[in-house]
Amino acid sequence: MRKFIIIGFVLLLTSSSYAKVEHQVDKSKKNVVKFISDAPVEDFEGITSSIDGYMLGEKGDFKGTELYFEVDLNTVDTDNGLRNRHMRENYLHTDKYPLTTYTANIFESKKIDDKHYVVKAKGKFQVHGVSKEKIIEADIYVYDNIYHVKTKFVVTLTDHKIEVPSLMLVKIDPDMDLRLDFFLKEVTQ
Amino acid sequence: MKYISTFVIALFIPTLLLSQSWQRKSEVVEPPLQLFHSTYAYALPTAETLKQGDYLYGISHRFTLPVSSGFEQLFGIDGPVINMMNLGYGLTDDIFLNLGRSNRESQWWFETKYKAIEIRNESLPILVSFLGGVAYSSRPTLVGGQELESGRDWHFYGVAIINTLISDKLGIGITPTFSYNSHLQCPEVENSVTLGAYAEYYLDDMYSILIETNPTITGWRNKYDSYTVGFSMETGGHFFKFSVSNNTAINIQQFNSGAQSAFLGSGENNNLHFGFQITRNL
Repeated sequence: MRKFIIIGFVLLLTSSSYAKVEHQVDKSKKNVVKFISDAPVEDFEGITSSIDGYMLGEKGDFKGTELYFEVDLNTVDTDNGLRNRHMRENYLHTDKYPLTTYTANIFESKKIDDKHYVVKAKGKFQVHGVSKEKIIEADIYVYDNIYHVKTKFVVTLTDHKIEVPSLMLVKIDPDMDLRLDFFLKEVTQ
Repeated sequence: MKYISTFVIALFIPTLLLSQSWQRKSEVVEPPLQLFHSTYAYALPTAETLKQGDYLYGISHRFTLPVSSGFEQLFGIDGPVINMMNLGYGLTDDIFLNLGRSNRESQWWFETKYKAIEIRNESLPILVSFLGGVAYSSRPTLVGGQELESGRDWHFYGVAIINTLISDKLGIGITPTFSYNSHLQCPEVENSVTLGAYAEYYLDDMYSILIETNPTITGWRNKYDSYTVGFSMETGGHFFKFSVSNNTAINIQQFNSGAQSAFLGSGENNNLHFGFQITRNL
């Protein structure tokens, strides 16, 4: 009997944990991940919808939320098959490192209005097999059981030992813009 | 001690219940198997196609004056020249359409290439494609009062293309080919069966060296089998290919009918011709 009382007491103490909910990337929505390169001859974009991952945190407060996202780089389409191949084989080496990942915790959350939060997450951003600590700011819009996440940040290719590609023999900007716009849906356990 | 363990269990129950349940829903996508970088070696096709919706524009020159004409005629570059343009399109990821025009006999041609078989193997990956083509010589070059029978200005050809890539460096291809009505200057319709072969060694991401030959196995052939040697530069969406060949023809149909001079000959037979190709993938 005493055992059950203890369990009940501890569960009560930790009941705040029960407010934690998991949201996973909703593949049925139009998720967009864009890699934008500023090249001297012509800018180009790589686009994919192959983002997956989750957020696990308390409802109504993003601070402390764990998150993990990954993007399958083999699916990035620059609208040119040859350029896709160059990107995969010559620069990102996706046969060895097919995924880019971000594993982080949200350490700051600012409520703009009932549906809109601006959050900052700190964690490991990995691409090309090289991880770097990165703080990323994002806007999160909350609609019932859906999170709509928008963020943009810069990745310096050389930080991840990625050779800076050339277009028409001219190197592109080593800083590549990443823009993400995707949806997560609450998971019912 | 018993209470402590109960406490610990109770403490971790929520954690166990609330750890994330996410799992990757699908396997990492495997990109298409691609061996050669370009859709053609020089004249002979590789098994590669374009991504659906991609275009390819190509322009090729082969100078009819031989390299042996010397500096005075810039090793043949002063011309005249056999000129070819082509426009390719990826109908699907596996079907490639290509329309071209050569100023030799003002020939139009149209080809369809279908990537049929992909064998993924670490040491010997293989791609097999099939190509079918039709060519129309709209202004045939005739000799000595020759008259063409009706329909002789149409040519048909089919190619089986087998490619492999060894150690990501050495691409090898063979292209057994059947050509119907190989050459307009034959008095009758003549057919040719050739066994094209090429090898491309990728020195790095940008440069490669490439050799190509197209021996005739049976049927009609011009005086010699064809050989082409040169190098290729690949940058962005472009291929720049520079070569010498004993055959001035550039497109498959005309190249299949053989060369007019020897590759390693002497005197009059030593007629290597400089040429280049530029293709842009759009």
